[in-house]
Amino acid sequence: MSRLHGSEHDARLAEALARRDASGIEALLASCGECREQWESLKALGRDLDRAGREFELDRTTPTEPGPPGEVLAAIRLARGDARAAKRRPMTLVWWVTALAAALVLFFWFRGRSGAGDEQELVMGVGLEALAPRGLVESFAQFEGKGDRPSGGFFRISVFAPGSSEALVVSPSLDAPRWQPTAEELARLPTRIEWRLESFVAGGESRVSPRAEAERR
Amino acid sequence: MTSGTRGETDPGEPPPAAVPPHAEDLRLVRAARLGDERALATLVERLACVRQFLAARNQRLGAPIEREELADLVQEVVMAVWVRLDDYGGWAALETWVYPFCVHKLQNALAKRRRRGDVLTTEEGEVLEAAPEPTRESPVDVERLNAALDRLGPPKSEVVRLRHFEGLEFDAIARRFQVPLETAKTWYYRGLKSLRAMLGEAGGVA
Repeated sequence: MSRLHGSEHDARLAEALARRDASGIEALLASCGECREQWESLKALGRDLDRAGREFELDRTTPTEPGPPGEVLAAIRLARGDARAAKRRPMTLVWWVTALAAALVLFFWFRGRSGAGDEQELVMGVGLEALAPRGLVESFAQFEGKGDRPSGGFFRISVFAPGSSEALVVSPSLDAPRWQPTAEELARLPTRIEWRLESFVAGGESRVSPRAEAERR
Repeated sequence: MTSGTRGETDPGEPPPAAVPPHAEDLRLVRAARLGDERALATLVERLACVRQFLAARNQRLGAPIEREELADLVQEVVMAVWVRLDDYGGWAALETWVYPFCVHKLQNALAKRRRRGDVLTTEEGEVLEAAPEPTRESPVDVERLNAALDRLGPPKSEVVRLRHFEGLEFDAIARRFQVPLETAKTWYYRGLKSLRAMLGEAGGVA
């Protein structure tokens, strides 16, 4: 490419592209094959960009139904929670021992408080319980819990390997505390699982049921 | 031809303004990330655009994604946006920056459906053999274009976006960047050349 092309030709092409008009550069386009090629190619790209811009405008302005209140904040809080969980992974043995001790204390305190065990799952008025599958079962095809759906909120079911804090499978947001995993999700589950039901309220706060244990025959 | 390196400026031209054109949005994002409750509340309002983009685009494609799945997508996009917020540099309006996340997630959801071979119907009851390609009713591969714009990086990517997505004239673009008019035009021209190289001369985005 000559120096002349790199400077003057480019400057004239840039000017013409900016005003989307080839008038004034006809002679240049006629005499310089590279300019002609460049002009056609960039003009076509400009048209594609215009169409992309129009799509953006349509997606921005097409009337749609508003979402449930609090859905954005709930998602942000979930993301923050995930970030905190990610940071917890490399923590030291001391942390785990402390956490285990605290969990044991809580467990015995809870067990001592509730004979039947039903009221222990009531957290700020929302009772959550993981009902089925529990114990020895034929399959994990259907998960069912119990709990009032919080206004504007949703449920979620998470399935874990026994003792693990990292979920193997997580349901999408649910309107009711029931869920059927897909075949692909079922294939990821081991013979023994633990699972829990969570509810998310509009403000982004979450409630969690105690874990249920189940084993597939 | 320029290489399209992120944030590159051309030799002999003034650097982009130290204050990005959407500095207000950048301040909002940073404050929200630092835990400012008022900023977070404003950010939450601004991110209502996620549902708007997803719902509108889904609607225009014949509503292949149902309401519940759409709610999941909104959640996924907001989470992805939150995780990537530190990358936001204030070069584009927050909504313009968020838009590609929505296009990408919706595209993935539709591709997942195609892989499952779902039988879907449009709102009018027309049976579709599979989930439609996002490009079925749209002539441009917006996702590919946005990915190339991201690779191009500011200020050129933002000049292109301001020109085509926000419809600004070059004098307004030059004012936004506090650069001479000719510089804005040159950035645009070189930006287009880099984009063309990234997208491939033959394939284009249509």
